[in-house]
Amino acid sequence: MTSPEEAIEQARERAAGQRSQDPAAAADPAGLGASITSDRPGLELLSEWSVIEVDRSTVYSTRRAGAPITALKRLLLRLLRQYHGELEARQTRFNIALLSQFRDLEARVSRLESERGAGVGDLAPGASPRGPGERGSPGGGPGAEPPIL
Amino acid sequence: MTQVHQVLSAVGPYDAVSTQAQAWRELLGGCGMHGAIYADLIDPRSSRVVRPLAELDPGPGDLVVLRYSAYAPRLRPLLELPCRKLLVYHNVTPPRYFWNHHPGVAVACALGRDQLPRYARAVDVAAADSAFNARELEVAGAPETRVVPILFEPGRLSGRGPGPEGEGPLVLVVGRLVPNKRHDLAIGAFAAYQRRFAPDARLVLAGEPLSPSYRGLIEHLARGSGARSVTVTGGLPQPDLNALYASADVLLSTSEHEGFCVPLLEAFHFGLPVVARPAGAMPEVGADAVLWADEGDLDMLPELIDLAVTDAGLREELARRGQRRLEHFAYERTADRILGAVDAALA
Repeated sequence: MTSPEEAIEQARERAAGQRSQDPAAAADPAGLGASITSDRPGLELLSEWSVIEVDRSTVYSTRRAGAPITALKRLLLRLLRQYHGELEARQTRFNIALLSQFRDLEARVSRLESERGAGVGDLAPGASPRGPGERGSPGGGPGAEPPIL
Repeated sequence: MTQVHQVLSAVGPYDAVSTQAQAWRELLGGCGMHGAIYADLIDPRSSRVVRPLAELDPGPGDLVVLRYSAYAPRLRPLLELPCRKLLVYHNVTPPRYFWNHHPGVAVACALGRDQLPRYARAVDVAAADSAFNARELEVAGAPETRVVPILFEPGRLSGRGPGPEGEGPLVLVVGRLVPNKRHDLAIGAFAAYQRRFAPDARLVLAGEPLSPSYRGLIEHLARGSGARSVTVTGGLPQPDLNALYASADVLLSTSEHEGFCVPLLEAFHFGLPVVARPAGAMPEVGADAVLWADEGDLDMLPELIDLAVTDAGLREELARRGQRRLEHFAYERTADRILGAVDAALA
């Protein structure tokens, strides 16, 4: 009798052997992997999501014999297409404008950080280049850029 | 007389959290602690057994059991209720699995995970159905966490619907059709198994889909994998699922995130060998009764399926170990833990 532990070891060896003999025959890991993002999505995904466009197939009924209800819901969507189109356009306008502002801010922060980094390269690791309570650009004196946050 | 009300963010006809709420209601009702189940979102197919959350009106001496598995906008005010509260954490799936497939569910998961600390600190007693989930509760700030496993009722598994058609080894995957279960990997592993070991093998994916379009995606992936005889059943009533367990040759799980994994216990009940990836709480539930593939070595899956299907001695040993796991999760044993948690919350 093969014990479960022996079976696992056997499978491990057979899988390794299979991989070396015929890589094409190995289990195909392609599928949903690329669609699984991170828990906190980055800018690229935010850009993609900023354009509101809802797939009509997401409207359905889970009731028993729900097909007529699904059809009715989709008919209502069709009848209200003008209203929803306007709503989607306004929300998309806001999203894109907000994202654009965010990108500008991020670019500005990066620029400021690199400028500051270049100016304080001889600071000890972990030491803050800013003075106590200081915010904004280096120096903070007249002519300096306003605080960004 | 003290009433114990249970509150869920959402209920559906085939999900484990809703099933647990009903099992607890029967157990507690038998001990004289009656109460109802309430939910913020109610699937029309479950509307007969669950009441809308707006109807919840507990007395000061009652207990509210908050079953936490996702964010729901009307759950938070319950923390202010002038009664005792018991949190049961069933885990919230990380949102990364849903952003691209169901934004609404992703938002509920992201907020659910973010707001867990508020719930963990506000209740009288915090419990989780696995040690894996209990660790997340502790990180969220719960002062003391109890592990109260899923109340497993073998009686549910006695009814039989019609069995599946066809011949050849039957590989069964049970669980909601959602991205974290990685049905794509199960299809890939099955395709390799079918190609190399059993051309007449069949694969059945049983579980309620996230949405009709997600089900369509899984069916599309199955067609594209080159595998034949793949059936996506959708959600099934328990007798139909029982018939599948009884006919299957192996249960396969390629899930990446599991807060407990009830199908493991169901498979053990039917003496069905299990091949799985060690995800989340699964190793503590399945322990040595499962053929675990190494994390990151998906090529082991077809090999393990073949061994589980063809080696009679191995099947017997796995069935014997599965019975031992069932003893660990025996109804009476878990019922004692539930009653202990309820008593502690009411004390």
